[in-house]
Amino acid sequence: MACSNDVSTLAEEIRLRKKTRFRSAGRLMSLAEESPEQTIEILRELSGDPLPRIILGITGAPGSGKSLLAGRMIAAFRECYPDKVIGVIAVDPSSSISGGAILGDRIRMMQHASDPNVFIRSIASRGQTGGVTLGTMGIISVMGVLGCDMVIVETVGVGQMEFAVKEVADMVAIVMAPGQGDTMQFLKAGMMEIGDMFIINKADRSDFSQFFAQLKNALSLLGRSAKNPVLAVSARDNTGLSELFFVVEKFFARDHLLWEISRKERLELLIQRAIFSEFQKRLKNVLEEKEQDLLKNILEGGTSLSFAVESLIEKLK
Amino acid sequence: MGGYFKMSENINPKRILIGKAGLDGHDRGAKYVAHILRDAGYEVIYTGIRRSPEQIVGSAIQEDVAVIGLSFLSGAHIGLSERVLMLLKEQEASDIIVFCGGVIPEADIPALKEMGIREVFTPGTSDKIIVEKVNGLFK
Repeated sequence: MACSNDVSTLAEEIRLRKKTRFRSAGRLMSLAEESPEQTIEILRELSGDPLPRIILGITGAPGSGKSLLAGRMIAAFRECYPDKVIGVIAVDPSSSISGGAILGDRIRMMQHASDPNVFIRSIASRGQTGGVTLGTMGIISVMGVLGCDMVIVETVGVGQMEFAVKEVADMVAIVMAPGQGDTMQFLKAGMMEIGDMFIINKADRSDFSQFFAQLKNALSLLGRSAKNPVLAVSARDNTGLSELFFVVEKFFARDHLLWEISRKERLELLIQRAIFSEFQKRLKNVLEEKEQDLLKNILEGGTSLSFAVESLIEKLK
Repeated sequence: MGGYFKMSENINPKRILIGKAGLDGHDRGAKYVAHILRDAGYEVIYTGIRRSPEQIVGSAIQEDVAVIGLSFLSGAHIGLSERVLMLLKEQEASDIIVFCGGVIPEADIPALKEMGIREVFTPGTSDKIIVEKVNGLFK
């Protein structure tokens, strides 16, 4: 009874809403994660199927409460729309030493694990090469065939992961919590720049109002107040969720065609990056297998850097 | 470079789900096993404590794991393992391998193996043995 590995067979099982469709969806997602080649095959197969209406990215510093918030959003979504399906992709970092990972975001969402209208998939960053974000797009498209109206992509905002979420999500919400710096932090480059909206979590804490005011202040200084809503929520006490959905819906009430164009552009960018990443991999192989002395020669002055590049490209042919 | 800090070349790590079923809040063992499997290069999905067999099997299917590890201290290992295996069968997912660990009396191990649990790790099993045997499950 092993699960098939054939993309069309798996996709058909989901479309026909067979009992095994969740298994098929899970397997398709694994294939999408495995290689950019397979992701492309999946994206092609599913090109005629519906995509989720909303792809919402959630990012923020570790411990700001993203997973619990995502869990609360699932519950609120299921209460508002009993017939609709929601998907969550929770990204956690891979160890650069062992390649392994602990994917623990599910813990905050487990009450939905046996709900057929909720599909949660944990993925590891696997080094965050171009192929990984392309793989995430593959997973999102599988969630589309499953009938997901909304997909939440949740990832920790460190390294380059916050930029990866910008590439797959239509809208990015930055989750912050009191104690994470003051006005100066908000002006620095990085995560703050990519937020379409800001969710200030832990509204139950005593130092909340000061933090909230400082963030609003910084955004107004940057001239972003009108464009980027700031919301107060408490995932612990389950408050502020309906305002959150209101803001998200308002953001998506734009022309549907605009979303399609933007998604297509982003997908092309991801494919471009996957090509670069494959190119880099091949170059590395050539360098390690055939040109072991190249690095030494550069250092000793025997070869110039640009000559080394030329000779590597030549060897690739 | 070499030795401990050799960067990983593990491109597509295998996925394992570690779950704690039933009314049992002692997860030090489960977390430890999750950690050593991570260090052995696996992607480990941890479900947290007090989960139903339905939640564990549902998660394993969505996550497309090849192996499920169940951790027990409560004494309910026979009934809960049976239920997990039955649900996997119902979902046409019997190819997902299940192993157990925790406070399990020696006398119960044959019954667990008989029903289809592939490995049982009792207290005191070294991390090396656990990783070796889990590696073996994938062959």
